[in-house]
Amino acid sequence: MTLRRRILLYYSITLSLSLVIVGFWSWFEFHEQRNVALHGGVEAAMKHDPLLETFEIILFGGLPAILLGIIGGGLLMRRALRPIEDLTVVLEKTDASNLAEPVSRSGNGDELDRMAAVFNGMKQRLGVSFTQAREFTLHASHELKTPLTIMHGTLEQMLGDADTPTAHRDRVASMLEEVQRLSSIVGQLAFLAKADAGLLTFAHETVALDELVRDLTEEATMLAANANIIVTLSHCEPIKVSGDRMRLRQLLLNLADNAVKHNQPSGSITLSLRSQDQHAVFQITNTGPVLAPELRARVFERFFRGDVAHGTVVEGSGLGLSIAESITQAHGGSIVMDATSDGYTRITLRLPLLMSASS
Amino acid sequence: MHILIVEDDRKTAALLSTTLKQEGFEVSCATNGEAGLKEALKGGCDALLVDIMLPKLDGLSLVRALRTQGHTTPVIMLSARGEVEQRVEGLDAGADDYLPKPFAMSELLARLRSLVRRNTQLKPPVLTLADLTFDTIKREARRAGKRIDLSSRETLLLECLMRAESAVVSRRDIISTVWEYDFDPGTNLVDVYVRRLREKIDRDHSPALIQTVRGLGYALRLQS
Repeated sequence: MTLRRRILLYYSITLSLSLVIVGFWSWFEFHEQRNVALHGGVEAAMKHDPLLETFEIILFGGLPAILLGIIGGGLLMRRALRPIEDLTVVLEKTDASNLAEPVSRSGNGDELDRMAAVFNGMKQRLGVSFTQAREFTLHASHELKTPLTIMHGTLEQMLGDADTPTAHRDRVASMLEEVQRLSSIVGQLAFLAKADAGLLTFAHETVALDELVRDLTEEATMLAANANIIVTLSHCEPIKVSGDRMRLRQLLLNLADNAVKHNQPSGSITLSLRSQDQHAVFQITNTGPVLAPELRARVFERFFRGDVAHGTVVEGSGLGLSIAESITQAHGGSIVMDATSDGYTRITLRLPLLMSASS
Repeated sequence: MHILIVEDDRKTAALLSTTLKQEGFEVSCATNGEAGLKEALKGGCDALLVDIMLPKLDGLSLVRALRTQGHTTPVIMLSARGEVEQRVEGLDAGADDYLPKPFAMSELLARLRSLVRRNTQLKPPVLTLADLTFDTIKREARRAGKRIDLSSRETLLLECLMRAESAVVSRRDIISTVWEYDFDPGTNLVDVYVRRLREKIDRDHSPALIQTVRGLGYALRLQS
């Protein structure tokens, strides 16, 4: 039955019931009137004021009928609208991650059931295009690897070949470097495509995050030394998290690399690790230029390049922070960029602490 | 040294074959898994290079079949799919090493050399080049008899370069041996550490031993 018919039917039933109530009360009044006339004569009947009788009918018949109409109508509307509310809840939750889950259907063939079906169809088609885009990146990165190997190998042969004139060696070496850069981008794209498709497996080992942060401090110090950037570890508590050691190292190194590359010469980088509200909180602050607030969330987007108009040329693929975000999410954590009160750029990484059974 | 290449991509196979021949290896090729397995079972080859994606019989099944029949010939898997899971899968199947595409020929040669070495002789405990020595047990480096203070990373880096015996070591190989990273760090970490090591090893001494081979990596050797 369609929704329109159902509402019409309920509406008619409510009206009919109201009519029955009004009718019953009228019958009661008329019946009483007749009895009075029969036993007390016309005079007794004349004492009954028609206005009062009408008022009684309205009060005892009309009011319950109205109440019945309001309550019944309210229930009716709620029942009729409930599928719309359910659908709204599902629609609100819909994003790229749950396109495969269909909206539940009533199966009664009404307008809303059809709408849910249409919506499921749309979700499915969206899901297909999402998967296609994802698989495209994944396949493209795989397909690029063999030609890259061949290019790399051929260039290596040219460099190793005594017949290659010295004048060409420099160019060959330069091409080789570009092939390596391309290989690196392709590798990072493949990582992200796999992460999107849920194809990456993460280990769940106990990782002493403070050790990783200390190692990172040493590496960041080395990376920053060229630009005279000073690296300090301001606070480091012993903290354990559950996760994939290698991926966490990758995540931290990406953050440190970003802090070095987007810094100013003779600037500084401050790292800290502490526990807060059942989370390990790692912060890395650098004295580089601060991004406008509306751009800060976008630094985790793929190939995001900051303020293009005023941006200085920074080496790197623009995928490092995307990878960092992807690893963070896989560990159930969060990552944000904001600015400190003294105007420096800060990235805060929060990872759930390891719940140890003993403590 | 006879190497069997099992690779269906003609150009890759040709490139591998010419590179290996130049390095003095004997080479034969198979273009699908079945032919490769047949050839390997005949015996006579000292190492196998096997692509994972192969027609007829994939690389993993090939290695598994080879191992179940009792052949211990060293195998290096090559794959465009790359990354950790594949590596684990390959090693589980019985491969000795795994090289994700795109790789450099120098990396392949380094892996081959170390595989062959693993199968033949042990390394001496003290590595030497000119007046530079590295004691792999005491973890101590000396140049012209004088002890050089190195951090743990620098020690690993020096060992990695010395073990390559004058061959060029790619940045990726350095990253995986010294840092044990299985990912591309996207930084110039290696260059920074090599620069620091070079200061400690070569600044006060000649000849300079650490050489940058542009486009390829680094080598520890006497200038040829």
